[in-house]
Amino acid sequence: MKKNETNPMLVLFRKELSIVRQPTYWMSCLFMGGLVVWIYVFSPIESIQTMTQASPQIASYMATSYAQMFAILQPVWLFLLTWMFLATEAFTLEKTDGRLEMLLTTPLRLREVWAGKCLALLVLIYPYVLLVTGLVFSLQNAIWPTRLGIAPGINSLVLLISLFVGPLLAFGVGALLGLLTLRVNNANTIQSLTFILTFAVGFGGNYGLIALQKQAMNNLSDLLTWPVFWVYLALALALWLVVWLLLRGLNKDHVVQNMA
Amino acid sequence: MSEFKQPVVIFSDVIKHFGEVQALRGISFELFPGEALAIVGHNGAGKTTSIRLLLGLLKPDSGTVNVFGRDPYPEDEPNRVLRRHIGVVQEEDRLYLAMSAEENLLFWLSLYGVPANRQKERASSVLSMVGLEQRVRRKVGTFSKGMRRRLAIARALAVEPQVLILDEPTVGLDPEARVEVRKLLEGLVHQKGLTLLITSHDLNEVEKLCEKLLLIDSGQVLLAGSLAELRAGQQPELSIKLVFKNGNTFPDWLFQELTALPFVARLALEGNLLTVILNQGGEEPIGQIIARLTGAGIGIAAVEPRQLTLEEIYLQTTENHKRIVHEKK
Repeated sequence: MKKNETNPMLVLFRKELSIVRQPTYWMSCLFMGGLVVWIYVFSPIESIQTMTQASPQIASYMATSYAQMFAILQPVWLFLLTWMFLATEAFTLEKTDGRLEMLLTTPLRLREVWAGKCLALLVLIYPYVLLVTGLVFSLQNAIWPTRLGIAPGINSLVLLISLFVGPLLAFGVGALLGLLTLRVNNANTIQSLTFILTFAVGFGGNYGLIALQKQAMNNLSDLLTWPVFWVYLALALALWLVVWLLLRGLNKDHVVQNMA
Repeated sequence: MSEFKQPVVIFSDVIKHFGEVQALRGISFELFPGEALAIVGHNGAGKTTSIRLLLGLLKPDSGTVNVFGRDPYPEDEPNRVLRRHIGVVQEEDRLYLAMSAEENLLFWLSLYGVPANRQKERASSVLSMVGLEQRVRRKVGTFSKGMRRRLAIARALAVEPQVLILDEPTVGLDPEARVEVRKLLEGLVHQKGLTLLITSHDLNEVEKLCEKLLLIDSGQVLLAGSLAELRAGQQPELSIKLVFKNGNTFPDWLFQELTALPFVARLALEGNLLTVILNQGGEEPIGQIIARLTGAGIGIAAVEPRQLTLEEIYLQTTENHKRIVHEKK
């Protein structure tokens, strides 16, 4: 490649970013972000307020645990949900419509197609997750002390997991699903799997955390501890190891045969 | 151009399996610069597999595929450069429907490493070439099938390829769009002198665009050569319009006598039209047949030597192949 030429992967990356021009992207971002802000900032106010009169200690614990529950689940869920919307066009339709095969006739390499698309989705999703997370924490910090007289208890662990480890884990899941879309015979299967996984994380995870919160309320123990953090990190790294191994074994002949 | 030309594409005894299915069974052919080669065959004959191997999308199980002197499969830097010299139009258009015609081309040109300051000019030039200059900024999703196919051709031409590969370029188009696309391709091939490889079911199209043909069936080459060679290799056919005097009919003994002639392969009589398929060309066999007919008192109104159409050659060859395969079983 000549020095003044743009890398084809970068060209594909830029093209994938053009999805921001679609109103559906902004509408779904606004809807999902608004929903999360409502659930984690405004919705808990009433239940914490009720508890404040009965037991200020439990009310304070509830406020802290809401922030922790958010950190454990929401960035991952929000990332996966947005990934699911964007990956339909970027991976599934690209493969089922045959454009992926067409891209492979250009100077692009197969791994570059995967990487270009994953990076573009990361650039589209990660700032959005950061923005919603920042908004939730800022609003909790601004509204709860005045309305409830309680601070949400956002510490470094909450920030680390919600801003870095959670998105790293979710990006690993998305990258793995993108890779599987390239490899498998029926790309729609992976699309369905993404859908199931996203909703399992969203609803199942939320249900599990509420159950844990009720248990932990007895001894007022934290939901988010360093062991939880290390498990999260180990899970994210293990996922990326799987991605790396699959990527090493990615075979263009196999991928194209599955497109035919 | 130099006297001695190296082939742009070489397929040498290429075998490819998809699981249990043997898609290609030892295909060999060469394509030289400036030539136009058509690969024809039934659905599933191995045409698209050959194209995919040529584009380095698939790896042969055995044999050699060579494009511009290189194995096109590895994803290395020289092959990245090699791909810039190949323009492709696949069976389906595979365009970005949410993008405009111009955006589609600019994206493609960027992928091929065309400098940004030359992209717009190149895009506008090929859009004019295919007659889409009025629809530069229209979303491709609003285009008709014929317009999309023209845009797909423009995309392939925009990269200024040395080799243009067209996989079923007119399939799925209505007759009007088919004629439109065929005319466009004819102009391109004859004016630009591109090296062309085309797969098609449309033998009319093939006859107009290509000088060489490769007929494949079940992954095997049944027939290969220039159209002139293929025609010369076929048995010549003669149509003789007879005139029977005084209510006479064609005598059986004459039919048997003509059939027994060493240069006659087949004889058919339908009303007053005698069709003779000869084993050899030339004037002598024709003269002998006419002499025997007139000697038996049969008048001759017209004699028409007929050249087989490509379609007839195709059907004859595939039917012969089917018969041989059936007999072997």
